[in-house]
Amino acid sequence: MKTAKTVCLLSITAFFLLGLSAALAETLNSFKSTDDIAVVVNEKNAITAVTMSDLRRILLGERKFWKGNAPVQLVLRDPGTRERDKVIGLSLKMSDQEFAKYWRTMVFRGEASAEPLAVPSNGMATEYVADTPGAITFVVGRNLRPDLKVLKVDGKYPGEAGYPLK
Amino acid sequence: MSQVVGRPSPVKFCFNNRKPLRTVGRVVFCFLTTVLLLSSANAQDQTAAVDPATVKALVQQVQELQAQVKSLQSQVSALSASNAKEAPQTSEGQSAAVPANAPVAAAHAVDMPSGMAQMMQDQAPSEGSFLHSPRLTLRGYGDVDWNVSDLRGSTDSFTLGQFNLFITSRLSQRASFLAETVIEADQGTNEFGIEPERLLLNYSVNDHLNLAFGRYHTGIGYYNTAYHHSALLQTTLERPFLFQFEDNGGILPVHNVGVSATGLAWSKLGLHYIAEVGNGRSARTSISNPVQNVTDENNGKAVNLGLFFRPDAMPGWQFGFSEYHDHLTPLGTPNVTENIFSGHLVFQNTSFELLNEGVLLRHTPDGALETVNIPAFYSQISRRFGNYRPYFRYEYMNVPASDPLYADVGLQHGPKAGLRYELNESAAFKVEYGRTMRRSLAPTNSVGTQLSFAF
Repeated sequence: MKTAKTVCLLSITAFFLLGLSAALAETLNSFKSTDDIAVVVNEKNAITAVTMSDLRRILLGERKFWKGNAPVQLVLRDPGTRERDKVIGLSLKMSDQEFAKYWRTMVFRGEASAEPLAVPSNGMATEYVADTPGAITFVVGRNLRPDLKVLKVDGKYPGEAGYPLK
Repeated sequence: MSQVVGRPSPVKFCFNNRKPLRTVGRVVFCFLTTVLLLSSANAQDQTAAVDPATVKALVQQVQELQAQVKSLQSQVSALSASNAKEAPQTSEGQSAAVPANAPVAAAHAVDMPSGMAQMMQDQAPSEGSFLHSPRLTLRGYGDVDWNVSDLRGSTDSFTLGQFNLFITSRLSQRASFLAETVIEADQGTNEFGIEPERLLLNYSVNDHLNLAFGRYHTGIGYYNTAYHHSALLQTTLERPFLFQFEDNGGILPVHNVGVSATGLAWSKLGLHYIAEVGNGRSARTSISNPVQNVTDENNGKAVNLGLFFRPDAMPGWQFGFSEYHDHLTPLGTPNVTENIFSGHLVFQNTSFELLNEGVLLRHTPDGALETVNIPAFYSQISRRFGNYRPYFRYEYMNVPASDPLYADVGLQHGPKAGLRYELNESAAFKVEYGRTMRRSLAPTNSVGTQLSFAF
């Protein structure tokens, strides 16, 4: 009787875990099938969602720390790439030249110690985020890695209707 | 809902399913054996043709690469360890970087091209690398001007502006160093002088507390902390009368030596605070340099407190106020209590600029019944049309003849209108007309041009 109960419990747990895995895999696939730009952070970061206002402040260097007081480390693609242009354009309504000028001014004013890190590939950006707890970057859904956390933006995931970073 | 997408770990899969592991192992073993045998045979065929010097060089290269890999592995380990300290709080409230995760992170980093790993570590030094590898960045700013004025006795002149060496160094994720050293010729003697205009060690505790130690630009109003010593970054040829540097006839304590704290007080409103304590400015008579870099002329310290708003709902807007208080000790005259009240309303985006600032300086000599008020303001507007930016500024400053410190400055007011042309991202050309009215003097007209650049 006890054995049957245990088997039943294990089966339910296994079923639940299987379902959860399938759901997560489905979610990842849905992200991957979209060209929306996902906001990703290290999986250890407690944050799960941001608003466009938060993103704006992070991109402008006005928000420098996460809730747990780890420094925000912004990683962007090199100038001229779709992810960078889209994020800067949609969040800040700036061109890349204006964004670069803004950051030069921030450094000159002493409000930032350095301009954001820029890397030439999505692989490098995601690699850095995977290895750096405070890092945040922006990647197209199909370039997502399974070990990164995708954040909701204004309550929406990439691929959903109304997602702001399309 | 958190979307932590679990890593589909092949390692877990193998340990949970012994049979597939063995099968995969056999397949891999057979494949590797085949590859090794083939390559060995191929190598034997070519042995006779290989030059011993080439072999030696190759061996040396392999040794160098091995040394590089070791070096990178040690750097990655250090980085992973320091990242563990800086990990954001997890939802369980624990430190985020679990040691078991470190080898995974290290493995990823080692997979990266070595240049990439090095570059990232260079650009984002960890706490662990604080003592070992602060990286210094040097930028420069300069300008060359030409001015003509109908002021009696003045001559039209080419002028070398400020040669500004701007140094930053990110010491760690929280600490950084900033220095702005200006080499500039004296208008009277044509001799060059050098002065560290800003020299700061910054430390960010969090978004709510940023500390700066050293010589800084006092947080009075907006202009003084928004535009420093680079002509390129400001729209116009020169700073407003009000914010002229001390050694150029300015009446404000533009520079201060001490401690400054700034931060976000209320994020919803975008409310920031400024709190500064420093030596303040000398009374222009007791110490030759108005900025008290080393010695304060009295024991009273200058205190500056300010609040400003940058509301999220109004991007580009900033408004705020500040109050500065100090005691000045002029030689041979009574001590003076100085209070400076300032307010500003600013809008700036990439194409439009509207700057409005007003200041009221109040000087009260000890034992005097009256306080002398010095009102001053400026209003500046500009708009960008492609590479062109026309601008207009009106400014006003009125120092009464009864002021114990700056009576010689008197009344100055007038408009300035100009055009700025962006040559490229690092250079701009400006042409400006100005008319200045003064008390008991004829108005003066001036025309100036400026080529400002960064390098």
